[in-house]
Amino acid sequence: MVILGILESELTDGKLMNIRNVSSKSTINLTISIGLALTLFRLFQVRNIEPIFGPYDAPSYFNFVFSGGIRMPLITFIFSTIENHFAIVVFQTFVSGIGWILLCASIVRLNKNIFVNFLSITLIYFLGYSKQVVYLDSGIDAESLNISFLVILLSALIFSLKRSTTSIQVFILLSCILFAGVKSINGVTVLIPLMYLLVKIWRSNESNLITKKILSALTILTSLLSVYLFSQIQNTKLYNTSALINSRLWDVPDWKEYIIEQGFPVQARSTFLRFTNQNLGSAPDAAVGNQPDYIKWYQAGGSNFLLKFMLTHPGYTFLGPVVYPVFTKELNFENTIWRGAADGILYFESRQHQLAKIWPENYIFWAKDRSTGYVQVSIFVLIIAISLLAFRNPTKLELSLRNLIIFLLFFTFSMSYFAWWFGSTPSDLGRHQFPFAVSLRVISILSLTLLLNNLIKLKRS
Amino acid sequence: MANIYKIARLVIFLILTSMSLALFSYGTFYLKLFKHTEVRIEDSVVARFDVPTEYVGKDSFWWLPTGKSKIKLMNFSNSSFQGVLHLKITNNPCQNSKSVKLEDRVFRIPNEEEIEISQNFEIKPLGQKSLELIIDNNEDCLLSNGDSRNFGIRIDGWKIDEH
Repeated sequence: MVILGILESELTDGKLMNIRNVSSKSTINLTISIGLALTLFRLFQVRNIEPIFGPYDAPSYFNFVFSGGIRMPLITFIFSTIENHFAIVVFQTFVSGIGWILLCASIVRLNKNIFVNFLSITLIYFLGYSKQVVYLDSGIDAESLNISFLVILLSALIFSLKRSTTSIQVFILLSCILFAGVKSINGVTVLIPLMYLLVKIWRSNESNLITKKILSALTILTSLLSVYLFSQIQNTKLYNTSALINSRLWDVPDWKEYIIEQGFPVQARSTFLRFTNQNLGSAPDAAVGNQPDYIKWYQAGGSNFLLKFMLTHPGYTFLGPVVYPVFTKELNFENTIWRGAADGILYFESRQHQLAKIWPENYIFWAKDRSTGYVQVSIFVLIIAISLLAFRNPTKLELSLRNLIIFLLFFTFSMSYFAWWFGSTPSDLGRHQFPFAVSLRVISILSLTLLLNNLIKLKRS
Repeated sequence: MANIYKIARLVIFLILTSMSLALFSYGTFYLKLFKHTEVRIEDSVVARFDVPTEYVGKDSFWWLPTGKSKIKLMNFSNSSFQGVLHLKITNNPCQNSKSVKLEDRVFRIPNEEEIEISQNFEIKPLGQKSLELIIDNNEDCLLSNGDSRNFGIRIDGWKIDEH
């Protein structure tokens, strides 16, 4: 209802229902109609699918604990309330549909040109309804809602470009709460849009002082609560530390030396290799995590190893996620966030699932092979880069959009870096970096609309 | 302030452009043109036979019948590969298999001796490929133990590596 109210108020904001407003209204109506039709089609497609229920991870989503559980409270609240697996799939599909409609509407609002509008609608829905995104709906885990709430958050931020009314600020705050409540890592990264909101609140001329104070207090409260909930999560830090040491750090001789100096038990390395080379009934990081000498080392300070390593190796911390090959003998981007951006989340096994099989491929955003994936990502990044160049006589909206693109880049890369620093082992990189992969594509569409609008303006002048 | 903002924007532009160039070169030249891969073919491509797997202890083997068989190669990764399939084969219990044709190459099969035959292949990302294998026997090899198969050759093991 809040969302519909925002759209309504944006369309009939009391100024003038002139021709442009009418055309903007009809474009947004068209966007919503297409989005609803696609959502219905998507709901129709999931009617017979078998939800993917991972026996190890999925049960924890049904155990609602506000603080101190192994999942964030919002996701466990939603799942434990709905309970039925198929109903969760339908819910995820519906939320995803709403998210992509909002994102599409927010971008369409920025454009005046019908061609750019048509292109934006097509590209956003192509991305939102790509196999990689749609497949997530079938899983009983946090991935689908994570992407949907991220998309809603992005749309809220884009909505705030034209006008920063109280209702839009509330919308940003709500979407931040939704985003922070599904994944533990979001509890930290959400601080970035929350700080942005705080600035927006105090720079806005459209609300009174009391409203500003209330909204600011709620924003600060949300920030504190999300960080608190994040700190209370009993996450898989024990396993992740060993996984990152063994699968990422051990291969570089200097780092290996540092690891040994820090007392990491060498036997844990042998265990990791033994369980990697053969299926011995347990994941390699779990096998190490259960080993007494590793647990002893972990409890005696090893729990802070990753943080200490990052502080003493700033090159790794800042360059590792993007140019990891400079540290290794092999020229290989497999361990970087770029592989996540190029590959997406669908592997051979997941492609065998019903939903992945029936849904058409989308090679515009997700290449079938990895090498083309890297080329694709390079094009997305280049589009974003070019859009940051100076334009002649930019309008206020264009300047704000360019600033938002820079802000979104910062937010997206922070999200990706956090996930890489504390997770993103080679086997999990696609899943961990999927929000980055989606977000990067959305930013490139946003940049493309900015570029095209400017080109059209240049041609006209 | 405006100048600092301009410089910051230029720095971001330069970083993004260099990253884009690096990724473009990596994907186009290093991976595609020079055919490097990020994943090992041994970990990504498997061979499947159209007969059941049999075991002696932990060792697996496959009896292929006389005539035409298919070997299906499956690529589980999204990288393309140029590889070589190696098969270790031995003659049938009657020792009467004369030759085996794997795609376009013909190999003579000696008696009571294990030989290795190989075939180059190219496979697309997440793709499948079928290799044809034809076994030529002098005469049928039917055993009197109730097994109705007409034995051709036995595959004692297979290996895939990069070409």
